Amino acid sequence: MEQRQETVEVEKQKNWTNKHRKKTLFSNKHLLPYWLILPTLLILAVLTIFPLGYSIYVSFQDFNTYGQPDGFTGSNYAEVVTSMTFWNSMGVTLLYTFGVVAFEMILGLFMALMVSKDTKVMGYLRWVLIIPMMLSPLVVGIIFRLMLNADMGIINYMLQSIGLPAVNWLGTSGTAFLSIMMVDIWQWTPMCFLIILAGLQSLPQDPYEAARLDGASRLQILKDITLPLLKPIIIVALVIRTMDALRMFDQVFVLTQGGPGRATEVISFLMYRAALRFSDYGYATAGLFILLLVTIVLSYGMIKLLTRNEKAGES
Amino acid sequence: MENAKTGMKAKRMREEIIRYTVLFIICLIVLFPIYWMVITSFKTQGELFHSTQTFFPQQFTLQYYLDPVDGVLTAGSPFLGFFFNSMIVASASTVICLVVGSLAAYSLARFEMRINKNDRLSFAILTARMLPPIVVIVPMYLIMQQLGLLNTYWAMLIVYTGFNLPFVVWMMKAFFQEIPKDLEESAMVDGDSRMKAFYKIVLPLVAPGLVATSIFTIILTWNEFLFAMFLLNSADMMTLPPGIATFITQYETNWGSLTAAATLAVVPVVIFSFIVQKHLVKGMTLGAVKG
Repeated sequence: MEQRQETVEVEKQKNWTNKHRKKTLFSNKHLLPYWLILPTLLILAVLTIFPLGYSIYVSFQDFNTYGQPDGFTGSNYAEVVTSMTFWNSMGVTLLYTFGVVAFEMILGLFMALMVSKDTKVMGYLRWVLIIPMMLSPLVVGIIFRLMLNADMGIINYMLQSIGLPAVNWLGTSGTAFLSIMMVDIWQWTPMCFLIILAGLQSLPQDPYEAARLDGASRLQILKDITLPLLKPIIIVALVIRTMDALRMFDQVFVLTQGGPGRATEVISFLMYRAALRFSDYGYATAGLFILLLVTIVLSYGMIKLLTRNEKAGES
Repeated sequence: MENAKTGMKAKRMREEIIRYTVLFIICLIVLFPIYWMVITSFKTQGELFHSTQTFFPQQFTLQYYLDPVDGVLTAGSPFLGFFFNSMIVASASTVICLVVGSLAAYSLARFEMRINKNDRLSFAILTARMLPPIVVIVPMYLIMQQLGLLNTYWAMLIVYTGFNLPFVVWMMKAFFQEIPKDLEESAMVDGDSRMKAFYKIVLPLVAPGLVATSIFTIILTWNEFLFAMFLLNSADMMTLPPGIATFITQYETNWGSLTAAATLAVVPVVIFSFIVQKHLVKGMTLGAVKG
């Protein structure tokens, strides 16, 4: 009896301290920023970290033909790295990524240099130039499917009207791959353009005046001043575009469905098929993890490579 | 001397002419596909498949929009359903992200926190956005399946909130940082609490930023295809992108209806983007580059 009373007493005390602590937690000024950021962190933990962990689990699960997990296995990764279709997809994805990113960076830089003056006309021009990136990639796919149509597409019509032969754009491997690249370049060059433009506008003006006084030519100024100063921004654009290009899905879905054959079957599309059509969730997740790994290695490598040069230049 | 000057002028003139010609051609390349989509939706079937293509519809028709049986704008058409679903999902997830994300952004922009040394926490949040969403798509599908949320607004709302939140935090952080600290500090000296100063002083000032951020969030959500494709498979729940994708296979050759639907899906985006023109850089580059 006495003991019980004692525990009650202790309970009470505990309650009191708890209450007390809570009160200070809420009223403590120093904790306000933590309270403000807490919901965001919780949501991100639940919606990013948890699924990521879960996907590691899934990638090590064996799924039966009904799509039910059937026990732990390492065979998903083995199956991925030994399958020819995966390496074909990896090749397509990498080739595609390098191709479009190189084109987009050069074109984007070129366009940004042309509209870098701040006039009203240029303001509207900039808006026009970035419309493509705001359209749904799916709609863009539809537009180009219409224009590239072998029989009634406007592109073949124009080719024929100037005496060139019609091309079966989406029907043969090489042209299908080129078409997908073309669509990507049309839609995403504006992204490079926009980032580089922002960089151009924040450059310091002093080096330019000095160069002008020295009588440097435009090309020299571009090569010796603008490009080195722009380097950090160019890295940002490069990394963002590479990450996005590696996971491209929508255009392939609308334009080619990976075909003809497997000529345009990028990894995300291959894994989409594995997951939704064949319920092969383990295989799909393992493959996507390898894609994530490639993405991280590539972007980290690019950042390291380009910033190391910078440091070497400083010393 | 005089000669050299006029020579320079002529050279500059020539350069300007070249510059504007090239820009004109680029604009043409940018705009032509969009123009082609729009006019295709106004052409009759006969004209569309005629051996000579027309750059302006000879016989302007509204049949793909208003046809009483299968016009995309006819009451009860699947397109209107997709449009409605997209609006619900986009606006609801935008509201949630803005409320939650602005608070976090304010915290990151204004306070020194030990967990945010050297902006470490901000970058951790950014990393969440940089992860290719496709990696988590399969587990998301399985989780939603287990929760019985496949084919519901809830699934889309949850997924898009996770996507857009880091974006909102980064963009709003940039907007908050532009507002001078003194304003709210003087309000606090006058006896207002921090939160009251936030509502009274900071929020009205940051309103244009809020509008820009919300429009970008709406556009991102509006265009998202992959997750919608995975998580929605009944026609009455689909948002616009997967909905329009079903049109492709349904009427392979019905380009009129397809382009009409695509045109209507694009119109709000183009209008919205015009409104946020000024904030484009910050929005599209995650505020990573100071615009």
